Amino acid sequence: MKRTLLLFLFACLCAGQAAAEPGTKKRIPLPYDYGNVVINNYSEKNGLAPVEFGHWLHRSKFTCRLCHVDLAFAMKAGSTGIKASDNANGYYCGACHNGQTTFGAAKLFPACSKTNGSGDRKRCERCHSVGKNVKREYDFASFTAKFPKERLGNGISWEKAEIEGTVKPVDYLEGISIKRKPLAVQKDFDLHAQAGGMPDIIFSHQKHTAWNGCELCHPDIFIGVKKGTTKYSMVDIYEGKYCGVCHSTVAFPMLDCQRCHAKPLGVAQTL
Amino acid sequence: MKTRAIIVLLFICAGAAQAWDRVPPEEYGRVIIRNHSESAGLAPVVFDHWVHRSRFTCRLCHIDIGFAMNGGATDITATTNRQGYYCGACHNGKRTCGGRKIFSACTEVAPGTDTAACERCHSFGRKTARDRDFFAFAEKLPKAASGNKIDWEEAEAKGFIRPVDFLEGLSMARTSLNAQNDFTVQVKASWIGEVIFSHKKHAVWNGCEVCHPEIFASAKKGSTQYTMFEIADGQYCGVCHDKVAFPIPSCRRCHIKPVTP
Repeated sequence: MKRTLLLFLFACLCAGQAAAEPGTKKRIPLPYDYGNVVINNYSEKNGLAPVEFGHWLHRSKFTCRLCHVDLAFAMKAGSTGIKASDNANGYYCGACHNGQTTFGAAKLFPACSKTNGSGDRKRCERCHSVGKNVKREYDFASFTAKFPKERLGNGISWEKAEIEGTVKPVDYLEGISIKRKPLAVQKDFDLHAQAGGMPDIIFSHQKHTAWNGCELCHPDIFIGVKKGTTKYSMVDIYEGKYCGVCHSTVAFPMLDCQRCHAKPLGVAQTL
Repeated sequence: MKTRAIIVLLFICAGAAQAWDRVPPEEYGRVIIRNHSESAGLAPVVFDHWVHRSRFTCRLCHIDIGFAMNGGATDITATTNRQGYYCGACHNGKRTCGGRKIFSACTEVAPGTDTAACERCHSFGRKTARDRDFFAFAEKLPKAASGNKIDWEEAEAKGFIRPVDFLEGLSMARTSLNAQNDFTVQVKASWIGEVIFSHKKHAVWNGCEVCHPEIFASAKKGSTQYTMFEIADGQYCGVCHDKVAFPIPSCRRCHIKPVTP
């Protein structure tokens, strides 16, 4: 009896907090917000607004591999632990944003330079922009107007954009990347879906390596390249592991079932 | 055990009083959106689900357009509407529905010049005449005991309504997946029958992706555990039922199996 009452009281207490609980549905991020990362390891402690990093702009110009392997950014928000001194010494953001590297015709603005004083707040706010209503140099709508469209995520088919040449992501950074002979691209393979009637997945190595090389996924995320060595479920993926490291954070979200579960069902399976 | 069952029942009845008895059918599923309205000098928005669900699937708005499923959680602004997101995905003055141009939401007007246009949505506490009359609409549809007092399931199945599931420029055609079989959801209490869950009835409105993977992470039976308390609290089935879909006190619409002694 006492237990029931406690349970009842607990349920009443929880009533106001439905949004934070499991089994509810949040809004789907807007195309220009999808993949954005807020970095606040040290910003607010140092009197600055947190950094809002836009994946869409960077991935339109660089491969995922370049930043997450050669520049060594982690793949979980906040876990890189970037410091102003790291940037000023040419690591992380500072590897490109050093006031010297050029991209196209433009020189990339320096991030967190050593001489950065309080008189240069405007430059700080180019990145430290959360809640600051900063006008961006690149406007999402006009920048992506001609990109091939897809549903969900950024509303862009990044895969098609790369194949068609709308974007030509750079995979090599002078002074940091080292040229290696490319390995032969592995063949596509099927992943068997456990749920009855669910089509199997056709995994394309080629589509993934265009952005990631081999080393973004192997061996950290998928240890063995021998098929079947790494076992995982949709629950693991949904928790941000395995495919979920990228899908639902930056790459297209898991809501789009048929983009992975693409193999037509055999006659026996459709019955 | 018996006392516990009674308290659970009382709790459900308390929910019933809120969700069922106190809301007239035309107001069931109504959402008041007031994130930014009042600070902008406008009345909060009154959104009626019934008008929209009579014409569009739940999936179209909650996936392709991306509305959250908790009142106020989408955080719609006039700007997002003007940019063509959320309400503005359809309400842009260009799209048509049933041969009629859909009025545009949150057009940029000098303050105080076109309040009639604003008040089509920002109508909380105002006596705004609606375009469509609920009772005239509901009259022709199959009846239900609660909620909007419309049997939406039958209305769709019999073709009284044909909710659109595709929006040009936003939706992408996908090969449809096999509808999964119906299954039984076990109950803990001895005094009520087990639930027969129909994937088919749900998929008509929701596709797969309204429910999976966010609300029910896995499609594997038994991997998500939940109770009536959580449902009454707006989680799991309660994300839709008791808000827009038929209310929770319609016990026997879900708990279909006979009680086994």
